[in-house]
Amino acid sequence: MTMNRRDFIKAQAVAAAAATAGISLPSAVSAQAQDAGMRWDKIACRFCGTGCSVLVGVKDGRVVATQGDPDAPVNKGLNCIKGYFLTKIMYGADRLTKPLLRKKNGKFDKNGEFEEVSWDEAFKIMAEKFVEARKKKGPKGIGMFGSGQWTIWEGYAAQKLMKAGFRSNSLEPNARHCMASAVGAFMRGFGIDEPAGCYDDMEAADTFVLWGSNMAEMHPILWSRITNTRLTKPGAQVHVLSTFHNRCFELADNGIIFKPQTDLAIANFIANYIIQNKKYNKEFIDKHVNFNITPTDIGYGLRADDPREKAAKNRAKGKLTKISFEEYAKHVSKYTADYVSELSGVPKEQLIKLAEQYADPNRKVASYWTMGFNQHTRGVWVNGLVYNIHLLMGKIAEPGNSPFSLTGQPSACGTAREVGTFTHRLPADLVVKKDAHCKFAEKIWKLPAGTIPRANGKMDGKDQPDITGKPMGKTLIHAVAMHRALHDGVMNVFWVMCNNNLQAAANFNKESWPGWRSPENFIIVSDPYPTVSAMGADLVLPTAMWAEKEGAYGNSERRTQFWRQQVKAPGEAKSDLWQIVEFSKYVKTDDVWPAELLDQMPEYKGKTLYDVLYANGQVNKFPFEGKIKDDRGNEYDNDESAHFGYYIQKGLFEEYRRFQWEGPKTGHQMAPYDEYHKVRGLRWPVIDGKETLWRFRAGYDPIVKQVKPDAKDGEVFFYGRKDGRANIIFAPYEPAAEPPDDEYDLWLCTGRVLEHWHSGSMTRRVPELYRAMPDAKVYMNKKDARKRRLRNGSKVKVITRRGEIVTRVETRGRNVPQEGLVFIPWFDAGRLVNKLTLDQTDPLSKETDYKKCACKIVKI
Amino acid sequence: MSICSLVVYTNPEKMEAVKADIEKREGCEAPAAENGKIVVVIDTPSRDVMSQTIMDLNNIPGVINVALIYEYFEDGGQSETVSQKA
Repeated sequence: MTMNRRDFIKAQAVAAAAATAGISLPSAVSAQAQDAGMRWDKIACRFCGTGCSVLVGVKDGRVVATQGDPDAPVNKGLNCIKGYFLTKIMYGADRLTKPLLRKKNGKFDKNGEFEEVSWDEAFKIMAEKFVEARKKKGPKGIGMFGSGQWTIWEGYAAQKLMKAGFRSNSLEPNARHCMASAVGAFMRGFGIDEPAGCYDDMEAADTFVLWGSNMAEMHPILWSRITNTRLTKPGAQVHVLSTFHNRCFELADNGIIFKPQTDLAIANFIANYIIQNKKYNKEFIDKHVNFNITPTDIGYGLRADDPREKAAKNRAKGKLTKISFEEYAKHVSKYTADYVSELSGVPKEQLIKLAEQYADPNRKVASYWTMGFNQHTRGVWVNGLVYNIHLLMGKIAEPGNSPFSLTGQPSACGTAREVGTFTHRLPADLVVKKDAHCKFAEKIWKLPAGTIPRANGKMDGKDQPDITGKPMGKTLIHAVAMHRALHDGVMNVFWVMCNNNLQAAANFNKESWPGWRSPENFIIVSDPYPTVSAMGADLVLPTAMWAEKEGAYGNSERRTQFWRQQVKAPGEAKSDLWQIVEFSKYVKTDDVWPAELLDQMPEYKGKTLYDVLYANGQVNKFPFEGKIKDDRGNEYDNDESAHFGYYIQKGLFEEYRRFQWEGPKTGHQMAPYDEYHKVRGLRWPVIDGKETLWRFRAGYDPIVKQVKPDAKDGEVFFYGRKDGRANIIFAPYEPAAEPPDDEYDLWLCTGRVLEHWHSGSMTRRVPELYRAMPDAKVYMNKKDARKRRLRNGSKVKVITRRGEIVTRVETRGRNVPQEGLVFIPWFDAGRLVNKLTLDQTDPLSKETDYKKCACKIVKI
Repeated sequence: MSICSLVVYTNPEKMEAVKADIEKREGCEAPAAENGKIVVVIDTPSRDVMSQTIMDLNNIPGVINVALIYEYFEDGGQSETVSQKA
């Protein structure tokens, strides 16, 4: 049969939508198009941490069609609105295609204009600056700031370059601003990172609770799964907690608006309610839980000379003390409905309605949170307080009972956390604080013992030698501290890759900008577009985007997903992987390693970092045959493998996998490289080819019986901790760092909107998204506007102790703040909201709190 | 040629009103609807019009979520025929 091509495509489009929605059509067209010259393949979405799979149709080297992947368990054929524009993000008019260096009279000059240079010239000046700063200033003299959007092997290659090659722990991901509090709470509570449950809980739960997550706008596909359950499952409920009314409230059975920071008190109230009503699961807590208390009054992660830091009794302390259940019960007993209602502004009935859901042993409850919890000066605490509730009830590690931390980036889990591209981490939950972990990494990487800087600069109790001639010293430096170090001249070279940190970091005027533009500092930014960060840099490297390279991401539910290179990058743009590995050819071991280290392996003398780190017989062991082929006979480019002459992505991944299978920490195992190209992702641990949906429970998680052979099916064992018990950790309500006062009389909360992803460097280049949401406005309660004689559309100045921006008032938009709070999204490069924010962090996780500082608003 | 299909999730009580609103829009058809879910196909000459239409669907009162399923964008193509596998 033949039909008009347009009608055929339409019929196919309708059939795909109907099948996805579970609606039957009278005359469904169920065929896949047989379109000559079109190559279809799967690819993971570039945006949030959901990890949707998208089918892309490529014809003549261009993407011409996309479809939500019907075989993908995550999105089941759906795409969100940003997914619609997915392929358009590669075709912005101002794509960078040549390296750019600031120059005057033919030479590098910090105050010069950008001029096009060759990659060779770019890498030569980078190498010169890196080596000089490393020799002069020690391990903290250089820094690299990567990303939860790096592919897995890009993060892994960067980690080798910095920690082993340059012998510096100055490697951080932007995930520090995003997920660090979640990680801190996982490690403290369970001794192992990432959630016990998975997205299957979205169909299995009876009650969904959103704590500080605007899922409707930020994770729309997950939200449609929850919507589906709420609309079709009898008795299902959705509870939403936020400091402002957002789109999630459309579906809420219990929409709760609370005063900023009082989430700490609300969570403790629920624990108290469970105990007072004797609803807790005694058997579960007797067998599987330890009770603890954390030090209080820990400061706000500000600079040490800030009065708030000087006043803190236990600055940045987090060592736990064991307590009894009775002591724990006494601590939470203060959080009565009356007290918490008064403190939080939430009516008592609403608090009780929420608590009842958790306390009912017959209801399965899934809790979700994102930046509302993580970007919090008590982020580790508040993550932990929700675990407390689930652990008291034993509502964890089984279908539907699931405390679940969502991620904001496509590979915050897969790259930043699992590869460990943080200052303190190594792959598979290993840490540089532990000598044994470093020695294990050195063995896998075929390096002399003592190459990797230890956290305290000591191996076997002795100072590690350094190229500076001085002892290594303390080596850890987190993201916010990096900007402070640039500002103070402690760090002189900074390479920002795959993120927009100048726009993203708090306190632009007083911390980031002066550091970036300080004459003694050299800043490199790798980006596809001239972002705020690129324009603030000295050297800009044009970068290939995700579909222009072979890649892998890991999403929020531990799912690792691969894709092949679909199209070629424009001009001379190169992937992050190519940049990292090619740059390593420009630095020699002798430039950055002291003689004592080289004497252990004299064969490494005079070698480049490339020879030692990548051409090591492991990373370069898989041949590349000129094309990548799939099992349907299609062919794909792989520009990095063609350049280096071996299948580099596979070599890096297979070396990384040894950390999971041979390392001292079990439970992170992944499948062989080739397996992932055949499937729609697998959730680790992957044992005997099978993925794991729920961890820590025998029958679901095969690791349990490996570590506890007598475990019966259904038995819980939290194997991240030696005794198999999770920690309930009491932490109190403490006030925020900068609450409103008479002069700065409003809370300022920053965040995201549906149309734009994070700093907008990709989505603002899609004309339709730009038009739909061109500028960041200040969302304000009508009463607050009226008090200031403002109305919708009024032009205003928003002022904090650190800076000011000009914008317009929005009182009728989709976000309606409570009285006393305003919300401004941060995507707008023309109105940098981080000129206003305070560089406060959780003292334990070092993650910035972007949600709470004081501002005032005046009409202009 | 620019064709796409979507599933629009609505509050079930508002489904019919949302469906009627969608069908009034340029290039939009709603061939099926059930349990608060509406199947929509958009056929417009330009990708820009289509993008704007999708953005606008988000803002119809009663819409909880808009999910894109399939998209095809190519110049010309109207005269071509393709054979369809049964």
